[in-house]
Amino acid sequence: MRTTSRKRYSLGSIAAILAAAFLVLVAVIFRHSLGGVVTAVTSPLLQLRNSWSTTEVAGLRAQLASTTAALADRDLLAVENAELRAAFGRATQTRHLLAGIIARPPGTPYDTLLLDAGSDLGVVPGAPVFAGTVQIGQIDTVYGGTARATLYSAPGQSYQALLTTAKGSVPISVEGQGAGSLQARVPAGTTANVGDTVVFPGVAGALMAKVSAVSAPEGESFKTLYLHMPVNLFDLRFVYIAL
Amino acid sequence: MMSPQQRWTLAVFFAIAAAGFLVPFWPLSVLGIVLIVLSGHWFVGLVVGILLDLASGTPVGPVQHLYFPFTILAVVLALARWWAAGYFIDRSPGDTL
Repeated sequence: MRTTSRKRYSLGSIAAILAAAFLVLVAVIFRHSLGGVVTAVTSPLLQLRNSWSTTEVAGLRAQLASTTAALADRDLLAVENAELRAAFGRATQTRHLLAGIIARPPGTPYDTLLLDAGSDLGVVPGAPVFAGTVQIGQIDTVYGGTARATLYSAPGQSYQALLTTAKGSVPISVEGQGAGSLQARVPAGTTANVGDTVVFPGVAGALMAKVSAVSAPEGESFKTLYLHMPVNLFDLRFVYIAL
Repeated sequence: MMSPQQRWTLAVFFAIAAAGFLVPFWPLSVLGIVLIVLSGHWFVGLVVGILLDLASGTPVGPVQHLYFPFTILAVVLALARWWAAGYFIDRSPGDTL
């Protein structure tokens, strides 16, 4: 009866456990370097996979997603343009880099995008990522030829933004809910309607999301805004990285 | 040494985990790790978990504190199998009769 337990603690088992502990330790310490190696090895496979799955329907969907993103902020731009014409101009000198999406949700587990541009092309951590003119996330990790961008809709992430309504702008805290959805709570007296835009604060505040639903239960002092990014993250093929 | 049947089984489970990354559909990767570890190949499952964690990047959101979620899954499953083996697996092997 004790033979099984003796076998369990054999020299081979102990060696395997030590080797496993060593591997985990190496992975923890050298995560970034090893991640770059693994990404460099796997990204050609993912790109090959993407080229196989590019049918005419997929291509048209990608075009539609890009066009939708480009058109999404027209109303916002018109208002902003009028405001800027009334005030002093202040042009932003930002260069955009086109990057192809190698992997996207739901394939990636944490609402992240794996992009085919990295530090070789000047990408740096924290750089904003755009789909059309919609700011959808920022660069999280940069490797040589690839980079990983975390979407603003990643669960648990929260950002300061401005809710732009017909009556003005209201500062809000937006929280990611996953898969392009976000959520924000505002005082019950705040005027917010479906279709209102949410932008980042600042002169070059880019469009982030639109209000898709408003929940205002009777007697509550806050109302919940349900937001969505005005792009279809699942059909995008390209994004722009601001350098 | 593994029997040819064990080798094939391991290859299929590994293919499931790899397919989860390539398709891409990460729950398939989780399933692959579960199958590999529960079939007794805990070391292979751990290595696959580490590779998937390196390829997936640092997690964000609810699992951000796990840091290496696929690896942790493999370790937890390996420990669970090791614990369960003392009670359920090979308690009455047929060849000892």
